Amino acid sequence: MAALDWFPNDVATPLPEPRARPRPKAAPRPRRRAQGRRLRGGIVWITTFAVLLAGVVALNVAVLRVNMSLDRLNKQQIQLQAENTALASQLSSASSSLRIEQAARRLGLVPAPASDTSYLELGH
Amino acid sequence: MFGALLARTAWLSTVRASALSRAGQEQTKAPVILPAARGTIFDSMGSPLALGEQATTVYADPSAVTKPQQEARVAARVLGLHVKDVLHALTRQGTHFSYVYRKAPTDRASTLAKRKLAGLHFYAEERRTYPQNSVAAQVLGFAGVDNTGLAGLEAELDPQLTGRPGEQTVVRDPFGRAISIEHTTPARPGKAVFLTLDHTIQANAEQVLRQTVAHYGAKDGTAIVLDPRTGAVLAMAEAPGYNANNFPKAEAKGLQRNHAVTDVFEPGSVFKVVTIAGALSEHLVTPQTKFTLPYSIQVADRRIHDAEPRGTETMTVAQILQRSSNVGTVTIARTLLGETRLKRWIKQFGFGRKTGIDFPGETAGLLPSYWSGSTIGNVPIGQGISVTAIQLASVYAAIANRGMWVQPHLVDHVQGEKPPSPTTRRILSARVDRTLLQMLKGVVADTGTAAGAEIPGYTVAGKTGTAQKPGPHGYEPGKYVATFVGMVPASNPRLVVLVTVDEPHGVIFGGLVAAPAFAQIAGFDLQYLEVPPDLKLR
Repeated sequence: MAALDWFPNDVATPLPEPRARPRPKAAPRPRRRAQGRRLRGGIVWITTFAVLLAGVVALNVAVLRVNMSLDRLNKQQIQLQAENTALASQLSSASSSLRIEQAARRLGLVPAPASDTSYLELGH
Repeated sequence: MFGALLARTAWLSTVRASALSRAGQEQTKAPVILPAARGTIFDSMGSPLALGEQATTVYADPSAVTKPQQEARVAARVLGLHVKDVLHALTRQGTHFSYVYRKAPTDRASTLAKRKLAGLHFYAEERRTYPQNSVAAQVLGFAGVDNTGLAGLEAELDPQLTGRPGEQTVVRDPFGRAISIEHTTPARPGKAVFLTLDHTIQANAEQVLRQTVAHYGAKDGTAIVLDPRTGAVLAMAEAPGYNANNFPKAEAKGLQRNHAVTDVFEPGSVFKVVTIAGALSEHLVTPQTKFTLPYSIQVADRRIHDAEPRGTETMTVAQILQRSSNVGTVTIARTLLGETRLKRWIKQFGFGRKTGIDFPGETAGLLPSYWSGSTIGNVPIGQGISVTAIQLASVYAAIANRGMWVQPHLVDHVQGEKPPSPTTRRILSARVDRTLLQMLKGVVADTGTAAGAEIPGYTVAGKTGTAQKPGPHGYEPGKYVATFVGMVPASNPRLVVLVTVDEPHGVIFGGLVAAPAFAQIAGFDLQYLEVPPDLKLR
């Protein structure tokens, strides 16, 4: 029987140890790979979105601060304008010739007669 | 549960969206009126004569006031008001708005605001202020509580001085902090106005006038200082004056009138230049033409006489003007000039029509509507005719300006606008004008009627006037208007100064009452303007 030929009686040579046959690797499943990519992509997107959102929030906060600062500066400007006007008014009152003359008289000064003013002719 | 929330969200974000959005906006957005500042009025040297200062209006919502008595006491103390008045404002029925103090000083209002009294509110407003108080008060006029010009230049220049308010829509957070400005229309402030007045010349003229009026117990007085070359009014003074910041009180006393422009008076002898100038221009006389003149003459039903009794004398035309002879002037008018030509010269000098000065309420003056037989006996000497002080000053300014009349004006220019060019017209030939000016110098000489107008170092030309005041039943006894109009230096006039004193007591003559005031005003102005003397001092 052909089947006995596999084990002959007179030959007892040891057979070389059969080498461990490499176990076939499990081929990566395509579905899992896609999931991983999506996860990584999602993280990137979420991060990007979070950064953008944070940026928008930061921008809004900055705009808010600028607006509040603008409002404060507007008030300050109005205040300064008011102070400026008040000072101009005080200056005008103080430079009133009547007031100056009265003050000068109190100090014992008198107006110089017109005839005491001398003019020099510089010629032409 | 989730479904219920989802449904509620959908309801709020769709059906109720618009109403809620509106309500939200109403709570956070507020339109803010940006007030437009009223333009400042400056004098020619750049000193503000009228400007807007910030003030705070305090008002109450009486329905929100919780302790009216207590609040009224606090508010009255801080604002310097009567408790009764404040309490009245805080307890007004049927209103949510009641003024407590309109345009209160900002510092006082700020102090009150810190007390956080229930029902009291504040908003900023502008208050018109006149920092030099009485200086040019009658000229400047007044802007009312709503910042609208009510009198004087404030009224005349109201369109230029009034700005256009702006508007801003501000979004605020619940704490009232502005978080966004959605829309802004900027306010456009009123334009600044620059006058020809010089506050130093004006203040001096007012002071001299005040002293003169007080010294002679007069009713009032007017002084005008003109630059004859440009028609610029350097001063327009009235006495008695008033503090422009207290206009309502002055109005109640009738002090607010600028008599120089709005009131007429019989000019008297200062009008004689018209008659003499007419006769000279028509070549009817020369300064040396002689007339034999009695003390008085009869003209129709009127007897005309000179101021001082004298015998029959021979006078030249120059002497007639120098001694202000009524008889001489009427003789020239009646025998040489005649009614028609005199009328023409009165018109030529601009009497009976407005000068067009930029001040509201100018009067044209009054000319005789009907010339009777005696009219030629009084009009040539300035009776039976009424003029304004500005008309008279502008006529003498024309004589000082080589016969060229320049429209008098108070406004030099408005900010951002081209300075207006005043109207000019020749009223006298240069030759006649020179002659007339020479004759007017004689008035201030020792033999003239206005020796008191002399200014050391300067030649002065001018004319006195002492006119009786007309009343409903003829001339009122004892009531006179004393006038002097002068030009300095007469060799090349830089200034024309007119002084009128209404109803002086004791002394009534223009040469004694008005001429010294002229000398004081003109003397100061010449020194201030650094006009060199044209005479060698002895």
